[in-house]
Amino acid sequence: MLTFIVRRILQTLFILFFVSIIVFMIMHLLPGDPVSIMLGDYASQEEIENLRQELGLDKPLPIQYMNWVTNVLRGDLGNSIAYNQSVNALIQQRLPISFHIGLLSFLLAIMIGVPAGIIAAVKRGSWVDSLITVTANMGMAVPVFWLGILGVYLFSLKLGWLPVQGYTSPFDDFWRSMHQSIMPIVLLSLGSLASLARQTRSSMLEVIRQDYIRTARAKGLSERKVVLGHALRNALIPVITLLGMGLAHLVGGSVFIEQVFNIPGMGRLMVQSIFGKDYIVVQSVVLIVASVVAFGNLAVDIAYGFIDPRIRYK
Amino acid sequence: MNHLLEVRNLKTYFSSDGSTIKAVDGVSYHIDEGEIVAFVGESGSGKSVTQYSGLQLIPTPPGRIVDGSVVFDGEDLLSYKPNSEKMRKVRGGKIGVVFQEPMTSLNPVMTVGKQISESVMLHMGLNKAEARKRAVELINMVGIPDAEHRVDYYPHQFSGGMRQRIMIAMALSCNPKLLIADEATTALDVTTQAQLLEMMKDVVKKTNTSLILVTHNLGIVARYAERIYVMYAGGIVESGPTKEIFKNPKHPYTIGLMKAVPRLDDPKDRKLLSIEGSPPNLANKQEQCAFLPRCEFATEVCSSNPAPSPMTVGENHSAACYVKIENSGWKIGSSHVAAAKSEVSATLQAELQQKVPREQKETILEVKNLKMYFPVTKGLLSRKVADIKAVDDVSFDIRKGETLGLVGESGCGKTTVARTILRMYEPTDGSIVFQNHDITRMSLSKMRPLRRDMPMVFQDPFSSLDPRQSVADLVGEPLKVHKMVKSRKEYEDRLVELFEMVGLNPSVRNRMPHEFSGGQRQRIGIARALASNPSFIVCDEAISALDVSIQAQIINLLEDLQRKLGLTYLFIAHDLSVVRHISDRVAVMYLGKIVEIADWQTLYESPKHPYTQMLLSAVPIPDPFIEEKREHVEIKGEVPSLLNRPKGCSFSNRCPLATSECKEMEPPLKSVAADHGVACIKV
Amino acid sequence: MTTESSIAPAALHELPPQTSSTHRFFRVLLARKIVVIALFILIATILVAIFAPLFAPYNPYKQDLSNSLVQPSSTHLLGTDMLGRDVLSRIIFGTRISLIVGFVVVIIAGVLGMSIGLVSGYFGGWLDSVLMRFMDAVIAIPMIVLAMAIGAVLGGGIVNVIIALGVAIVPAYARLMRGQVLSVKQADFVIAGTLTGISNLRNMLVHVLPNCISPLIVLITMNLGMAILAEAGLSFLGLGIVPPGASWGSMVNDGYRYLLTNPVLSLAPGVAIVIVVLAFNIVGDAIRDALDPRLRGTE
Repeated sequence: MLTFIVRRILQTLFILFFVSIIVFMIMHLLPGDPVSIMLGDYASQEEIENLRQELGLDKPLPIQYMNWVTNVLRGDLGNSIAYNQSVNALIQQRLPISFHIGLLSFLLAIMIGVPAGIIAAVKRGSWVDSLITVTANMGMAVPVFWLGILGVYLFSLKLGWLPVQGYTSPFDDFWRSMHQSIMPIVLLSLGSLASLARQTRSSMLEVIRQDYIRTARAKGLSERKVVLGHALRNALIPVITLLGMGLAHLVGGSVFIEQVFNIPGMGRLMVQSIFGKDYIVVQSVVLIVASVVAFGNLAVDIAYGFIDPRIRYK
Repeated sequence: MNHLLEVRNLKTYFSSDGSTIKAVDGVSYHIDEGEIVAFVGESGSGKSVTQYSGLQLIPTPPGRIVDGSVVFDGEDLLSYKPNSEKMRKVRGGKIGVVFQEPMTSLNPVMTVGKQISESVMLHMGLNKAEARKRAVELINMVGIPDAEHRVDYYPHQFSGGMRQRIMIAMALSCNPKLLIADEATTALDVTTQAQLLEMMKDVVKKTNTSLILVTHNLGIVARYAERIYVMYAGGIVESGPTKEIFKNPKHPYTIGLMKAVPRLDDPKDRKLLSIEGSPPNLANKQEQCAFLPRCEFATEVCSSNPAPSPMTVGENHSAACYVKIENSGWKIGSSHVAAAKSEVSATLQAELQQKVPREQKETILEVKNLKMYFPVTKGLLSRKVADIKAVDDVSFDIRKGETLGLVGESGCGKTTVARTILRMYEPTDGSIVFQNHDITRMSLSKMRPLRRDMPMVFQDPFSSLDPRQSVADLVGEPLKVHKMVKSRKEYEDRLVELFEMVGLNPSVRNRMPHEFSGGQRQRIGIARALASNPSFIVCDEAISALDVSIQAQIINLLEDLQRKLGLTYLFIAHDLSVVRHISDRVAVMYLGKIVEIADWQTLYESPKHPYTQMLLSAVPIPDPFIEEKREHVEIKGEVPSLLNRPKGCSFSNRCPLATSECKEMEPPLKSVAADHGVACIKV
Repeated sequence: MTTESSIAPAALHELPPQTSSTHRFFRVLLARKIVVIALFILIATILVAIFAPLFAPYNPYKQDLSNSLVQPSSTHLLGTDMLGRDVLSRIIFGTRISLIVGFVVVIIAGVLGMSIGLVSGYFGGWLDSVLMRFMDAVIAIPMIVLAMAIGAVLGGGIVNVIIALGVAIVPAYARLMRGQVLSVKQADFVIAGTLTGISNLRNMLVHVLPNCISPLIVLITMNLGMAILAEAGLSFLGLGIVPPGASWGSMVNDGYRYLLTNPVLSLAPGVAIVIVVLAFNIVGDAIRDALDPRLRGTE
């Protein structure tokens, strides 16, 4: 088990190394010169050269990469041109906000999606199953930004129950924060919730036809005990491994939710930086987001090891 | 007297793709208290579904119990709702079930102790501590040492045999009145199988529990059952006391089965009489007798009337057949299966084998001190910490025209030997000489042209044929690869010839593999092996996956082909009766080593190595009269893992003859007579 | 020569009934009404995309500022946008963008991913490790974030959107293909090929590759909807299709400002997205079920 954890941690670090290469390649190898993009069409050659030097872009690529990585490892992500402050500071402001919305959405998705999947599988073929399956299918087909707009239209504009947009930290004004963030949280969770419900359902259906479930029934256990005592834990094992993917999906969705509700999180920072041609911020955001996802996956895998005795006792 | 279990006219149907499969179609039987009764039949005969129907363990949908009554101990089980409390009290409480697949029948994320306690707490009303105590007791009872500690193990920490012991403990945990063992030992090795069946028999006899053995193995039936129900295509075709049925089978199917099964005490030249054709498709079952298309005794009545219900043909003996068969051609007690003897084969074999002494025959394959080790790695850096010695110092040779049978239990390395010889692995040490070519270290590209002379027939007829190629392409592939035909016509002619050779109509050659049954697919596999006109064929468990009646067809085919084409076989199998039937020489393997090698007669009639003796004793003979008198060698322990090989002689920890000496030195394979080697210092 | 032998004469005349797997596939596929409806919607959508000019009542690009922000009426069924363009016509032309992006993205990603997976699974070793860690890294970056980053450097436009999305979903195919190759490589029939003496290349092409394809086909159908959603998302953020192109995503964004007065501007294109994506997902699910090897051969 310890070997498993250590190996998984090393793997994660390896992945992050590759992520850094990918991010670097996107920014430096693709056609399109970041400097001229940053300075706009009317910059003089001299201006461009100056900025190039300032950013170290005149050096060979491997050196540039090394410099960048060394700085990142030292905890220095560079400076934002548009915001005129360090990227570290920017991210320190933005990341907690995304975490607030994202984490609550994730929990909500798990708390509702998993039970819904179980109920659908157990009542397979019933109207409850149809309702859950159809809803889940819808949930996966609806673009989250459109869902946000629909929510704003219904609950803010038509019913007037919730504010149109904005964000307040829960530590500053808890109730106001709740009032503002409830809709983004719920809407962001819907996609992941739907996919979790589907995965749980199919995993549960798979488990229910296993031999050991027949054994449990042959013992005379009640259906409730068969499902909760024997099927559930086995069914959750594959669902847990998929949670990591769900996390990436959710982070992607938060870009749209933050955009629609004007929430100053990482997603909005990324969009603004792209429009502001602030490529240092863009590359930092991608790196941070990928790290969060990679470490989230790591946590999920370790949890998986604890749930499955076949891994624990290796 | 009331029967413990009485089933009347049970019908269980499954719907699939719009058609109805009559898996169980009007079955009636009864079990009395303390009786051991066997349900015999091939796959798809409905023998398992019959048992599950009474317990309402049929998955619904697609299954449904259409008709019938099941009365158990005075309770009408089918009147209960499937998951009602009353039904659940019977399941596990009064009727215990042991399922076939030990590897998948236990919950992988729950300790075995908990899985047993659960049942005990439910039916016997014990509290947690008491239930745990009971679980330890039970684990002990089924012969697992160190129960106190092992009760907290998870299923994956046990071997297959151990898991099945736990299943038995679970099924017996609440002192049921009836124990159903559904092919409970089929997936296990023969020694483990014997251990478990003996144990079950002892327990049920001690506690006056009734036992239903569901099996396809006639040997098990003969050894353990008091009464038999023979099932075919969803119906009971014959029933009666074991001895009566074996002596005097009345239904053509039963007669066919008896003739088809190879036995450990067969005369060598007995020709297996296979039941031709394959079992019917239950989706479009006719009103007529389901066995009609395969029946050699059929008369006019059979084709113009619906299948008969069982008719009394003797004391407690009934058969569902219109024809009163007087001379079935079957006589128990073996060597007199006159009709079954193949004259041709006897004379030819005599010619082939007795005239030329073995030493003078050409050596096709010579294996010397072959070793095949696989590294075991551990830790972060995948350091090598040990070797799995799958094949450890194995030597033998095969002469032209002979069949060497390689037997042993799972994990003994017999398949690895074959695969190493075929150079699917890089041998660790030793030498392999095939037709005077040293192929031990030959490069794989140089091997390629040699492969036409050493094809293989696989175990699994389903996975060994590429599902996306027509069977003609598959059989023809060696012809094209080795450029053995010059024209399209020659190619087609050769294909036709090959299909006819293995008993398949050549007009089916453009079909896809999934359209064929298991037995037919195995014929296709054999045709592919024959295509390149080889002199030597490796058969790796080539008949293990097939039903008894089909097995006999394939054995006969292989024997006929050998005779006609002068083939040499390396025949790998775990079924000792089959190996005996087909082999000239037999090698017995245990934990990667050959422990005994001899001609078939010596090996089976006067085995020297204690392991060979134990193995042979474990194989039940499908003859209750012989089984009655047979003495059984006690079987100790189970096969250790290759990483846990005992010091000295690998068998020393289970051997009845073992002394401290055996634990110190590895016995070499020494010659005790001409062509007879034994690896034991005690002989 | 063969007739004299005792070889199973009965087996000679025994012919299995001819069954067609294609036939069975369609029977299972079309067994459910919802799937038939979804297929119908997809075919209709494809026709609408091809013959968009015939279906659209107006030129989708033609601005008419005097007629901007008209509410839905009989002349403009879904009203007009802030530049006076007919919303219905723009939605009809939008099907073109969605379908082209969807299909091209999955085809590019499918071909690329399958090649990587094949190489990785076939050669194994360090090449496999490096390729797969690389794929893991791409997966760690959420698809839309990666596509945004690529799009940011490349700029907008349909080609760049396709490149960005294609790159982002390559790993899914590579991993699946690799897993397939590894498992099929172990199959007895592939070993049988080797033992017959055929070359590795022939074995790979004739026996391994054809048996790896069907899960990939399933993934391709399932990903079509996802690619359409992603394109709409990028366009919504303003990083996708550039004006005046008619993308459903950018239409939703353009209409957001007029949500209170003209909700149909934002909501109608969204409905179009939902219907098409849902139809793709349903058909994808049904194809998976029909191809499921565990369901096969259960007749």
